[in-house]
Amino acid sequence: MIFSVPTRYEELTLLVKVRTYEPQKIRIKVIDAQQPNTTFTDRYKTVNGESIFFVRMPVSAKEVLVYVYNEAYGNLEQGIDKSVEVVSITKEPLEKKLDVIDFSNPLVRSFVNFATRFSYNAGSLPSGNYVSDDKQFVIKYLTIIEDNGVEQTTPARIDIDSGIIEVSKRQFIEYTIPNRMAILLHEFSHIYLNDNVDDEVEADLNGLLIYLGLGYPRIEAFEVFAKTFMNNPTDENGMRFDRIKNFIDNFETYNTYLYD
Amino acid sequence: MNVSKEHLIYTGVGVLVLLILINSTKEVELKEISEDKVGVKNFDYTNLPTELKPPYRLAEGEQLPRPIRRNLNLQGLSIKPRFDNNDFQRTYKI
Repeated sequence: MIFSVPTRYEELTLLVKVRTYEPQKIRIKVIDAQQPNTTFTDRYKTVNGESIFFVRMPVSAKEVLVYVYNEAYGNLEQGIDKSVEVVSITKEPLEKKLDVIDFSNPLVRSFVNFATRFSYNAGSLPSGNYVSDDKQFVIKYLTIIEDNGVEQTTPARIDIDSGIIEVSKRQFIEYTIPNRMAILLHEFSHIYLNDNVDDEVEADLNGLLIYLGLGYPRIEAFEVFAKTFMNNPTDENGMRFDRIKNFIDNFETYNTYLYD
Repeated sequence: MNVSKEHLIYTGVGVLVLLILINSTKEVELKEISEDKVGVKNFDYTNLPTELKPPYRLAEGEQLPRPIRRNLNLQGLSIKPRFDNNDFQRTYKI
């Protein structure tokens, strides 16, 4: 099933209530109705009875398309697939925690603006070098990231000397907007927020603090780290994932700046 | 009836709060569309609000802005962190 929802570029939370009559793996996708490769969420959960998907959208399109379908049967119209039913779609205000973000830091303000605009449009932007309005940040949007002719598995990396972020278009195009934001904020944190530029966990948590404070979905952050770590399952990455999970779980009660 | 200024203010604030509460949650009319109506449309960046417009893309040959002030320490020089932390390299960080 595909539903059209006018969102008028507002920040909001979509509540999609679905009903099944036995446990079914239900997928939900929210995409931009106009811009290609622009996804706000893409996730599934096993639903038995009634359940609500909360889709937090700090950015939205003029109009979004909400896909809901049973993974077992694929996308069929409402009524044809009797295993799942969409009960309602509701728009609610987005809950944010901007007090955890140090917006008095001009670099944070500038990068959040830059990363948001890049992430929203990355699905249709051509490769090239993109700069923030204040010329403080540069993203090299490359077809692939390579070293000595070999494609690298990472979706992004940052040059500590120049502060230039390299992004793999091949990988980014597949990611949701929240995934893209989580990655870019991690890279930014390495240089501009970390005490130790080399510390991955510190960059993870500094980046996540901004990401969660802006109101992006928790699940998309888990997803992007899990996806990346699966490509490189080291002990350190396992430890990172545990720390990230713990941090996200405790975010609501977390009241300190990590990057003072 | 004598209505004081204070009462008018309280009533106004009350109506405002009520309107905010009513408007904060909106059920969307379910409008299902078929798969064949979905497709790539002519997307135009110029219609986007300012806060969502794509960042500036440097022209071919246009010089990159000079490096900016950052948290630097000796330990971090020449490191390029990677997001997946694969094969840790000097110079880049993932």
